[in-house]
Amino acid sequence: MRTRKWRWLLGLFAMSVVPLSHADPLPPEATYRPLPTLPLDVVRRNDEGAKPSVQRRQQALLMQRYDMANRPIPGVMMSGGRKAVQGGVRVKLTPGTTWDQLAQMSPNEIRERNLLPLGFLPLPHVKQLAGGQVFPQNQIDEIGRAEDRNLRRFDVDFDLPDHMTPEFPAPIFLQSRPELGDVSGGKLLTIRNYYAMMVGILTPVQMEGLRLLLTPFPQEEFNQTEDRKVAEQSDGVACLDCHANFHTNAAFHLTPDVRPQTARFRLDTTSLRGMFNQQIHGSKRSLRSVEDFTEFEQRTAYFNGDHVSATRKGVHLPDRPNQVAMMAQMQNMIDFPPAPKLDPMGRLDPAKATQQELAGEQVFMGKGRCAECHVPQTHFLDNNMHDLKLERFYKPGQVHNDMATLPEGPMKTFTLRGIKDSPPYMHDGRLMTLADTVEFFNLVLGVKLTQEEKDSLVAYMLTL
Amino acid sequence: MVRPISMLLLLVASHASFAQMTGNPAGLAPDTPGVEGGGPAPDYANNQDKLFVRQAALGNRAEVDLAKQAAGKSGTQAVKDFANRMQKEHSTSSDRLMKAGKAAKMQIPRDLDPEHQRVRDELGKLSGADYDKAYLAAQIHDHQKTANLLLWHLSYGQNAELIRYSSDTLPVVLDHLEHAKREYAALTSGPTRE
Repeated sequence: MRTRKWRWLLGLFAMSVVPLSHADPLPPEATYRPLPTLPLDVVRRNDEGAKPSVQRRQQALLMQRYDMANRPIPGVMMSGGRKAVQGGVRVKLTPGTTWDQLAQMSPNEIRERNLLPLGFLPLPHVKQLAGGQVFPQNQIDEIGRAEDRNLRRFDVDFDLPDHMTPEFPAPIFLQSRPELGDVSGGKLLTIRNYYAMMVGILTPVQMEGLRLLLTPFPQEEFNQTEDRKVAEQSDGVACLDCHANFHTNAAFHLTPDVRPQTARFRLDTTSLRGMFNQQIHGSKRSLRSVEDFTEFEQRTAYFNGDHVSATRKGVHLPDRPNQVAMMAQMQNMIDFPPAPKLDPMGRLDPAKATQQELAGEQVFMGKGRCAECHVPQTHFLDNNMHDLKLERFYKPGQVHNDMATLPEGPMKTFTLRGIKDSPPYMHDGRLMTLADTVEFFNLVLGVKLTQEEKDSLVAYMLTL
Repeated sequence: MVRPISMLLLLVASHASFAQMTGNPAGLAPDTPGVEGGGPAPDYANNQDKLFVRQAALGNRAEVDLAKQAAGKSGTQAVKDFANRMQKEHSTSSDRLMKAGKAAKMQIPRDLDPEHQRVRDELGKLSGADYDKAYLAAQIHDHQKTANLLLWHLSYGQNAELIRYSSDTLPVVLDHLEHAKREYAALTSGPTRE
């Protein structure tokens, strides 16, 4: 009786549902990393042969989208005093348009007439279909010198010029010892020098956390197997190979959280400064603690969110109560660089700020709508993810250098403290300067700022 | 002095064929033409290209077939307009795919695939507003699948002509998907993204 009733109900359900097709699912490589089918020497020969055209193609895209000239803002240096901050709007306008004209148009008009500057679109990986971690030359050179470890890939090189990246090595500020200032001594932290540099400054558990963050572990492109992109068998990479000195060296990757490969967006390494106040982590995962994030990075930054591939190459899964907690504690000690013009609540001190900077803060808090997400009192964060809906301005699905330009959905709000130290900007590094970010949000939020207001916003952000 | 320059020219010439092959060569078949010479031929169709041609051809055929059914069955002008658009654009797309896919040398089944046959039969039993909603719901699902098929092919396909087909078709398919979602939302008062 019971069974018959169930059958009747199931029949009713089947009649009411919309017919859907479930046949012919995509092959597994639509989600999983395929196993290699060629010997490494053949792969390397093909990769090295293709490399010049891969690099040329990416340079052509960058030149089409941006003015990459070395044009620093006079007298403005990053917090370590070792590198100048680049100035001016670098995204190139679509020919025949001006920024003011674009700001007057509706998103729909910009989309229908294909007028969105290409530099506002997601930035492809230098080799989208291979993806993976790519380190800047300064990091490759320094790790080679200090540890005799090779971070150079045979298939791709880093694609941005040095003057568009953060200063290297970045200064390190500790919230546990603020009186010390920069404790890096102008050096890159490595597994070889960390102990001598930090003994007497860190606690024992922080020291152990630091050791783990500097220890290389196998990674998708840097490992012992034939499926790697480094010439010799590699011990792997360390967390701080990208988050160099707990900041960023602009090393990039693809998001582990999206498939298929051509739909994955680029990720510019995030600074770890001010970790103690960040509540959400990870590209699309919105992990709620730095402990969760630290633990799971072995699955994501290291292996693209593919635990199947990770298991074969030798994943390191840190012990949660001991190793993870220590690595997390170490990261939480990292402070933002000093911002002497800010008061304790993150507002400009009128006695110290210039008129232009104060005017910029007014735009930031009001007409510019910046502070709706970048709240000064909570270190310019709101601990939320937001969808800017950029696809209002372009037709999705265009393919640029093998990357499908698709709506990206919600992204977390990044802090603006110490922001002049962190070019390039946005989660994928698609914007080169702070002036670019002002033009981007002027359009995305439709706030129609004057040139004077835009300039004051840049001046304000340089004080943060 | 002459020799290095001519060597360089040779290198440039032999690398010209790499323009299309920018994926990870680790996944190439060992018998890919040119792979031992350092660069696969761009006019070669790999397994993914072949499977893509089959699936995309079946998809195009189903869209045209279901659109013809909709043009006859639906009483709603917006749904008829959508169906006419599908019939026209998927026919054009089908012609181009058949040309671009010649290198794949695939035999395409003459009939609808069993799943789309089932969908057509199910839709045939419905009428009025029920039909409109079910047709559009099936179209949303089909275009989601097609977008993913194209993204997968763009990720792992190799044949230059087919890659161009997929890149050109992806924005169109995403626009079809938006169109289907918009019409479905209009019929059901549901949310759209815009």
